[in-house]
Amino acid sequence: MRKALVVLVAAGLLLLPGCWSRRELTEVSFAGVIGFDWVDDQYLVTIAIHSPGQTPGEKGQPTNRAVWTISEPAPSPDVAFAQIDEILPRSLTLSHVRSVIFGEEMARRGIGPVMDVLLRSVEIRPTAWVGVTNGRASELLAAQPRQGVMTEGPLGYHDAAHNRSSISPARRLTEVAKIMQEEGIDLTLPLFRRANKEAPNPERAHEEGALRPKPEDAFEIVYGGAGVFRGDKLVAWLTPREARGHMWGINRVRHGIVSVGCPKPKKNQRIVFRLRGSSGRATLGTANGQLQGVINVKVVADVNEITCREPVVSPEDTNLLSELLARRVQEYVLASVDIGKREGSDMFGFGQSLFRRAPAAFRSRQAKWDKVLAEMPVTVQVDAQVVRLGQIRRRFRWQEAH
Amino acid sequence: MKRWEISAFQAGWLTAGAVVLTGHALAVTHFMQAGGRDAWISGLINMPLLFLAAWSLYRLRLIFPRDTIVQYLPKVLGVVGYPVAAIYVTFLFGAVLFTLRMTTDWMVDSILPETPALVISGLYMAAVVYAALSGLDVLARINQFTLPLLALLGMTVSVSTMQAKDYRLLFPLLEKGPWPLLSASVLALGFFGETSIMGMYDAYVLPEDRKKLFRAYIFPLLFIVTTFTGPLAGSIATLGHRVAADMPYPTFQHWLMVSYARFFERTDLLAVHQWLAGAYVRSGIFLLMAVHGLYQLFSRTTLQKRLPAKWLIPGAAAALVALSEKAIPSQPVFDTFVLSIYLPTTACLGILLPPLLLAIAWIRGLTRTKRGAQTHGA
Amino acid sequence: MARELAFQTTLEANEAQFKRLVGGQRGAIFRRVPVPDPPGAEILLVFFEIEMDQARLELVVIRPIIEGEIRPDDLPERLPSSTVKMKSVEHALENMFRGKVLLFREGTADVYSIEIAKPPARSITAPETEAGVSGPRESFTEIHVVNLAMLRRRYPGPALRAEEVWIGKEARLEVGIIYLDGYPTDRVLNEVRKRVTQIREDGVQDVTELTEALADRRVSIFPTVFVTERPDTVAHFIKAGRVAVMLDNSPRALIVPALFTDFFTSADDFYEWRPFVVFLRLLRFVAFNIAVPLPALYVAVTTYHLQALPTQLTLSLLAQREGAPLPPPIEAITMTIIFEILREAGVRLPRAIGSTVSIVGGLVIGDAAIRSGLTSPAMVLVVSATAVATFSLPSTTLANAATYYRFFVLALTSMFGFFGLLLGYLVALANLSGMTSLGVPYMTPFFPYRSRHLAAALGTKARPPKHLGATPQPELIRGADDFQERS
Repeated sequence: MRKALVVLVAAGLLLLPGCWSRRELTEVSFAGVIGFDWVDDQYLVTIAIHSPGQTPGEKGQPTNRAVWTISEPAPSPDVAFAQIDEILPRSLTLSHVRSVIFGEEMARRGIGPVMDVLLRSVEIRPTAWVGVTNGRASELLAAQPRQGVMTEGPLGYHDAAHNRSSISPARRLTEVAKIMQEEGIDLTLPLFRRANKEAPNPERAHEEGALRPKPEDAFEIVYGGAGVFRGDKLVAWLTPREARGHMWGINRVRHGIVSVGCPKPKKNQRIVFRLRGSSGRATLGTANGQLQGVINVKVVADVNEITCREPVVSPEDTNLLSELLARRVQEYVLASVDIGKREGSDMFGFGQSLFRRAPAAFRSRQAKWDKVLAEMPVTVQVDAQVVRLGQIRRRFRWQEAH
Repeated sequence: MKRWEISAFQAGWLTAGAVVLTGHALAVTHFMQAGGRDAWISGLINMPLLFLAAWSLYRLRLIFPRDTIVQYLPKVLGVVGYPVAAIYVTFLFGAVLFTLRMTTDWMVDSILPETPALVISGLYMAAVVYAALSGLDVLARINQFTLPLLALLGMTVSVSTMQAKDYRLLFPLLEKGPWPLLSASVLALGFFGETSIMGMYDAYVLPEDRKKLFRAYIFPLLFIVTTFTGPLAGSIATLGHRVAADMPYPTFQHWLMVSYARFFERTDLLAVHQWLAGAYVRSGIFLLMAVHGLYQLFSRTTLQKRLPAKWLIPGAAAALVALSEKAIPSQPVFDTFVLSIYLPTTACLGILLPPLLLAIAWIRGLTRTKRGAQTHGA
Repeated sequence: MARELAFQTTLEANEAQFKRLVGGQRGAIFRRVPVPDPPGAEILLVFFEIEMDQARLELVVIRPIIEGEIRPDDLPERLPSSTVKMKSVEHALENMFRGKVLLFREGTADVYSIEIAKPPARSITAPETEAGVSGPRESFTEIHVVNLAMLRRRYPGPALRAEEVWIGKEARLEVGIIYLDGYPTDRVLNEVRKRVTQIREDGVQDVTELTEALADRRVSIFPTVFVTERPDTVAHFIKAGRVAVMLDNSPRALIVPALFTDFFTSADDFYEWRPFVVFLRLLRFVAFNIAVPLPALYVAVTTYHLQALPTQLTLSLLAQREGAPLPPPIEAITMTIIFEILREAGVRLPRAIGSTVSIVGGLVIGDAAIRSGLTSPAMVLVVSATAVATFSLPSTTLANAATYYRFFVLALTSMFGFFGLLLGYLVALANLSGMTSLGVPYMTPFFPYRSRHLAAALGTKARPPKHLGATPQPELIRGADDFQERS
């Protein structure tokens, strides 16, 4: 009986036309980054596609662009994908999309509808990074990276940058979805900016056939800062420093550099700390019947540079460095808190903290939460600890010899 | 069919392997939608009832050491037992249908979008029929291989998505009162009730000492509750309850999210393995027991002679494939089938029926267990 | 030959009868040896000269008879100790064909056969297919008694039993069933005896032809009988409770029951450093799991599941596949078939040039295929890795089974992607789980799980040396077999 079954199945397999879901590698265009813009009252979807034939190591210097972009306007993102698929000689696949970028207009209009498309798609992996740019995403995707393997495309190397950045809260698609659907917390997305590129390498300008940058190559991408959302709409920007302040509050800072002025402030004299670790927590409590927000930050740092004239490290003054650091951290965090309060965006999750402890208390205030936030006092307490001073302890006192 | 023999250990594992997929992959979205943020507690709340059902099955087995549940239903309930047994056999077929349909849907949705569903179901059931024809002991052995692997891979996924999880999202508990949790729990009973399939093959367990036998009933329970609660809580912690509730395949999404040390990524093909391996044993055992039960239901007729298993099993499988395609034309219809027919029936048959049977048997004085006379022969 | 044949009492009659039966055959000698006393009496010797050790015959039998040292009435006591009285004419014929000398006396129907054979045979050489680095370097020869002698030397204990069974109808051959007394279960032993005695085929050339009779299922992809040409391997297996079957004229032994894990052992495993053996066995298992699905996996990730590989690798594969004329499934099947042909060709060539030709052929063909654009480097790499993995398997029957499954899985994957691959694997698992070798489940010790056997299969537990009279070690096969009595 089993033999008959096997024969039957085998015959069936042979007779079937077979292979419906087949897509060969050479029939497919791989999308690396997707950009969403809102232009002329409709969506403009830009896709950065990996160019075939640009493997590293095959050619000494890749001369062509490894990634090229294509933009299509459409009434909805999915329609745009379909249109692009039609235009491209090879059918489009989104299964290798690494990044999704929202343009400023798009973000201000609201990213909710696009998130629906992204989450529903089985091809787009939920581990894709999400970011926002000031300006148009289509222009951002067309820019060239300063460094990095060409095949990665302009934004590919941000995969690594995302993870280790301390001036931009790196977000994956799942995290964005999670934050947006939770009560009492608002979204912040990392910011990609276009910045002017430097002139090409002067030493190589004499080489035969040296490339001159074309106009569209004149921009490069800088990663840093954040976009603040309220609900699904962008409402404000954070500078890199403010973004780091925010990240301290949501416990996302791992490392980075903090630069502090000397006790007697002078130009070009700084103390620079390198963070070794930090943690932060934002909670909402009540004090005297009033809601009170508290952000506790703990920072551990080493000293990288002391260019102050006056001594800042001495047996009597061990806490000076820590104090300086703590003050600066507090400054950053408060800056971001102010922006949140001003825009009504609960980016620290105070509401969430209340909701988890006392859901009814939150629900009763939920409709007017932005007002509650604006009026709520928020204190920032920083515990900074300076641990190591490096190979020289106090400072390089060369001036004393001259 | 010759007399099968499996050990208590194998029987326990088999039950665990047969039922785990439902709570893990097949019906998760229903529990999530009913229970919201609190859905994950539903497994824990049901534990007392589950223990009661498992213990009842165990006692019933001691009373009827060589009868399957289909055989002893009439003995306990009298004439009423026959229609109940018929419903039970139908449930067994229904479980195969449920698994088949859900697996096919998932394959088409997530993995092979262009392939016709009929081809997927047909191929899958052909493989299942091969296993079912091999017999209970072979299925038990296959399960002994696949289940540890499934558990291991499941733990891998859970560990490697740890950084994306925020368990504070599980709070506040019971924000909307007890009703979401209770409705999810009632549905979950349906899923847990599938463990009653053990009543179909515990008659073939070799005589064991009582402790081992009892453990064989309790182990699947614990295993299933753990594998149910864990992924559910994990999904809520990773995605938030609103997103997780809307996903038909949250455990698959988990696999898509695995990104560990930057090289252990893109492991979603392992998700296919998880699902298929779990579904394979499940479908095999349910199909085999369904046909077996059918034979026992009609034991006084010549059904088994006229239509031996090697024809009936493939035939039933083919009928189920056709049914899955034609009778359930769309996903909403399927959801209705699961929510209003399948889960309630399974809950009654699996959770309410065993204690009820035990009680009636006790009342009727059938509970004199044959201590020490645990013989079995060919 | 249904005629009733019987020995006659006169030399004339016997000679005439035997001349009728075998006289026309080349090499059949009818020699009358004169007996000095009483004068004129003779003894008739009938034999095949090709199989005779003539010198010894002269020395041991003919000369003493001629010179009167052995008188007819003293026969058979004065003859070499291997003399046997013949039970029937068929028996006598069989003995004659096997190289023994038939001795007839006048006036009696008693006929004896004397063992003075020197059949043409090889000397004991090193094993060819199971050559190892460490351990003994003997392999079996075609002579049954020599093989038995080798075994007895390796296990000089009373427990070693060699039962003699005859198979065939007209041209019967001797089969030896060898085991250690008390080690295999009675059920297994009786089953082996039953299956062997039921063999009716005449002229079985090699013991491997008996595999079908011994296996539980006649057609099965995976081997259920282990074949070895080394006596030390046989000794190891019978110490583990298995039964060895050997056939006269065959330089190999069959071991039953043979389980899945047995085919991952090589002869050297018993003599190497134990932790390394564990690693090696796991490595072989990994190799098996590479050899079967690798081409299918390649097809799956390049054709169906483009999202499965990291982006860089996908792009690199894409670059390689630009301009490739064949779709991956066809390419995979073609390349696999070509490699199988190369492998088969390598077997046929004489040893001196065989390996060179294989390597050169592989390199040249592979390189040319890539350059001409017929295939991509990745595909050649995949197929080569598969081939190497297959070669690393110690058992050729297992390697052949792997090849079969490879094609099966490749076909399924070509049509249904990873779904097909998994179904193929699940069906293979179901197949393996249901297989038995002499009634013992094939996948013991994995499932049913037997921990001590598993330890032995992995090589972690030393097979304890058995002393004379020590109690047998029951867990290895007995455990799997006594399923009914334990849980």
